[in-house]
Amino acid sequence: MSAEAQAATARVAQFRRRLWALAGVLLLGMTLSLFLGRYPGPYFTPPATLRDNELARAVVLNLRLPRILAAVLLGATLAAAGTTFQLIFRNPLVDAGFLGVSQGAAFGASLGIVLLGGSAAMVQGGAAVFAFLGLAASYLMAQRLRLGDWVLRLVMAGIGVAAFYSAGTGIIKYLADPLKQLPDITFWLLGGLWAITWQDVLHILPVVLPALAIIFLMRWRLNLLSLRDATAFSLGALPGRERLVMLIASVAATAAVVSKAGQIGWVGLIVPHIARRTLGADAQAAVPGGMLLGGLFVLLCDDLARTVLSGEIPLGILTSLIGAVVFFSLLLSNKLELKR
Amino acid sequence: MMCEDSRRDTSRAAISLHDLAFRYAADAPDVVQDITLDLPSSAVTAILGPNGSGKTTLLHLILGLLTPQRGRISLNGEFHSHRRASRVLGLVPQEEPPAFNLNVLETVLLGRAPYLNLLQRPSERDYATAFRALETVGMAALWDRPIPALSGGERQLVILARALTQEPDILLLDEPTSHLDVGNARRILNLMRDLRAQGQTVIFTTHDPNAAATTADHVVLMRQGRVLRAGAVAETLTGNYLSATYDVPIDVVQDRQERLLVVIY
Amino acid sequence: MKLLWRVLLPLVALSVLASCTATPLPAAPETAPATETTLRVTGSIAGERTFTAETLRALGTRETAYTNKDGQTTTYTGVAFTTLLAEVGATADATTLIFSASDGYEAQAMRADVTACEGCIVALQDKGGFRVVLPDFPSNIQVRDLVMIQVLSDADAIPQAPETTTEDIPNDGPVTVTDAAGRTVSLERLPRRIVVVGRGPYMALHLLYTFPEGRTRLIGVESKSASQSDFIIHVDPNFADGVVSLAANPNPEQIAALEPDLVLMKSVVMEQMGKALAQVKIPVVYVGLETPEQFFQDVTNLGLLLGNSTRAEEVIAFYQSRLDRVISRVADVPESERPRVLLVDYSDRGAEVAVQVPALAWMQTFQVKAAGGNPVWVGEAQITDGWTVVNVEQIAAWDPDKIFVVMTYDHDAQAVIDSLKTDGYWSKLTATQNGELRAYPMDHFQWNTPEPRWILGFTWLATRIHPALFADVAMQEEIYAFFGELYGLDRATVDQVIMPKVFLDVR
Repeated sequence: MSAEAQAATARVAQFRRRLWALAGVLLLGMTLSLFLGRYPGPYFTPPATLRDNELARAVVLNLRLPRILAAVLLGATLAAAGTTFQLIFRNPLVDAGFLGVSQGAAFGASLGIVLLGGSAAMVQGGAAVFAFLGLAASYLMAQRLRLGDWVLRLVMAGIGVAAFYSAGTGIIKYLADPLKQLPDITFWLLGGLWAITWQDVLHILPVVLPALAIIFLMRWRLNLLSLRDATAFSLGALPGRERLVMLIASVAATAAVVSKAGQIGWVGLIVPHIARRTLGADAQAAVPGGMLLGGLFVLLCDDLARTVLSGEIPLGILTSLIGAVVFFSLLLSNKLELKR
Repeated sequence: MMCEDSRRDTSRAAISLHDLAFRYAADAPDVVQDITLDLPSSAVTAILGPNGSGKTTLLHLILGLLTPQRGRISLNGEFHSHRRASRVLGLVPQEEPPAFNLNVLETVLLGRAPYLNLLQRPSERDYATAFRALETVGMAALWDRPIPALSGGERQLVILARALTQEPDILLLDEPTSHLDVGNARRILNLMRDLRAQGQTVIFTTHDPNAAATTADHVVLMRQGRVLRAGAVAETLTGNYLSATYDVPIDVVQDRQERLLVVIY
Repeated sequence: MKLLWRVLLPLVALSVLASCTATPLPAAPETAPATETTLRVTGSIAGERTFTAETLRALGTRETAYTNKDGQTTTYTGVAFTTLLAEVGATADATTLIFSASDGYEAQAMRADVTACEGCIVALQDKGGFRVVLPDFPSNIQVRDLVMIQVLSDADAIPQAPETTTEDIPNDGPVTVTDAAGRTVSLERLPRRIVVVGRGPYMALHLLYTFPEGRTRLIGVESKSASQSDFIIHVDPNFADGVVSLAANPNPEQIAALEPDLVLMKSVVMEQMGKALAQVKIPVVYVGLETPEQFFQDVTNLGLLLGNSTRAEEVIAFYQSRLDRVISRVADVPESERPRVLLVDYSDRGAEVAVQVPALAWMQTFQVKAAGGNPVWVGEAQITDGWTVVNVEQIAAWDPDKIFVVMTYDHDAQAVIDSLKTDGYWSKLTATQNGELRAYPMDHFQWNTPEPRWILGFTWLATRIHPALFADVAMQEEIYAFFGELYGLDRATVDQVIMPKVFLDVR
């Protein structure tokens, strides 16, 4: 084997080690998060409390643990979906907000709150149904458009569908009772994990895990799908069909987590960037790296959201705030050249 | 002479096109039509014509990316599935702006996709194939350079290496030199000659008659979606045919080594 | 990897920043200064002690120079902490001192640090009272106007929720109620630690306080606005001390930290919270309050939960008699003689004025209908829940006989009514010209909302819609009766704290 080939093999092993280290950090973070909270006192829960306080055990096992899992799933899903969207659309500035997926979910949830009685099932069902309708509408519209290549058509259709949904959400907000429902919609749009129970986690797992597994297993393939149609085709891929599989996996997982957590901004946009910058642009590393970093990022934000103040801080505010800070520090870092 | 040899070698065609016609939409005009053509194997074939003459469309038809409304295409006398075809045909597309920051090796490894299923990732053997291709084009030392950091010529070499990593019977290059300076263009063209010397079938499109004159054994002249003439380079690249192809007066002269030189007034 | 740290570091920095700004600054309302300021010392000591300036000075004083952060040096006279803690007999396991000031401010110091420092004293202030002087300690623990020192051992150091009522409860459970959300809730024994959260927490809070047991068993309430306790502190002066005020939107864990055995919530859209609380086995009872039927059910439930059904019956009887009086008198009024009434909510953002009509299922619509009015907006407000904005054109089309304008306490009612009366469109309305444009009354809280005051609003509406039928009803007396019978406020107190806030005929 040539020296270059050996160096290349060593590089692959190095990335693998980094991913495992990141996974270790995430596990450690999840374990530590179990001992952060507002019960019995603010901030840190001494492990000894768990031995003799039954309520503390219930809080840790039934409130914190599912919430921590949900935070990690949420982050991993948004980051994986974001990476997928960015690669497929060959555009580093897109996330699930494209194709009317997030807007569809928001519209569906608002509809559930205002017109369908606001029960949990209605909110979540509405979000999932309309997220998929968003994707389907964008996709069907794109097929009927007659300009540009597939990606451009899809993006244009997505912008149109997103605008429809945003208007719809606006109408619903207008109709909502400002005292009772509007705060609910607002809180939902800002997002949060405070009401997560084991049941919620178990609801989303059957969707999220297979979807993440598909994205994870097909991660090398994503490199291929980020090429132009003709090139991807000449390399033996069926770009349209394979992209659709990846999109469905991303949207299903996104709708599932978003239906439980509300709209959480910036994760899907910023985490894939960080993953690519730190672990390389190759989707082989960027996809699992993005999932791990996304899980870690949302876990951190949610720990802050539930621990820092005695009132819950909406998670969406924290992810946007911290995401913006990270984004600027990336932009202002000395590696100023546009890395994509 | 080389072209004489190559003509004798083409008892079996690498690609046979029969009565091919294609249009983008039912109510649109034909982009290519009436194309019946044999492209020889183990030779360099240039598809030459002005902009919009249907060269790239023809290439995409051969790839299977477009489905003709009429006609048949066979590769080495056989009709292939898409997946199988990607092991027979390797494409170097017209300039492809890098979407993300992949490095040289990661880009070249994509050429192994025809041999991997949806869930497989490149193995050590695939790495070895990729490095062999990089050595062929002389880019092995730059294996970890990000693609956006490369010059246009280097980038073209990397894409060529990716196509070679497909281990294809037939190499298709779409306008491989059109955005390169003279030196880089020459390097690519010479590389095509070297590959042909190793028995590789090479087909490229170009709108530059000199590129065809210096590199090809076989030339297909295209104009307005039709084949104006196809055949060995000496019989095809004549002043009359070239003038008819480009609508400007063109002369072909020979230098002292009997190499063709196309002069455009 | 280096880049990864560059990314993570701001996160960590931000979280540190966030936790710093989050240091709780208890904003308890100022307690009235006592005639003579005393210093209480409690906790892990031989026995609770209270010092006056004189008895403290008797322990032996020393002087300490303290330089504040502006560089000014003052010399204080006081008693060294070592002396004081020895005097009160602080136990060996006591580790922490918590200083409380008269304004509710609290700060904490480690006993070892304070006793290791000779110059650390409890000083006598020139203006009277006491303060903490800890040279070289952070300025935020130099507590002035000190009223209490708690000496805590590690075991007590976790902040405790207010103490549970120790009273013996007769007929102590089990109890089963069906709440406003239609859920059946069973409790083994009666709740002693009740927490009120959710939207409009004051609505459930005010209902709870119609029961004397409510005061002793309430331990926490979500605080949505600074003015939320404006009324309740007049009913229960110890409210601020005895009840933990939770920040808005507490998460389930924060509620669990109070270790409640019952959580009361108004809104059914908050079902998610109930679901989460169920995970830690904290029972939730929803109150509805939107209609008299719901209200009576809520009162009955509270009677069962507080073990005082007699009081529940009293409360219901109070409401029933007033409800019946209005309904029976307007029963015979023919449809044609029922005035066409418009009730609107007024809001202005800058120059922009918006008025909106309530949903059909809401308390406000019920009030107008049951008081013998004919709500004109019935055809328009088809939304089951919520306010609907109406424009002036629509109001002109209705041209109602009487208009009642609901507004929040931060509006000057007279100014709003005056501005409407001079408005080009509003001034043309029949109701305005006939002097039938009125502000809807309130005291500290509005009378039109689903909270106990709805009966006041309802009675007032009846007297203004059908003055002839209710000539014998004196609203002043209604107010005395309401606050007297439900909250135990005597006439003098009502005159002092309620009446100044009440306006009955702003038009």
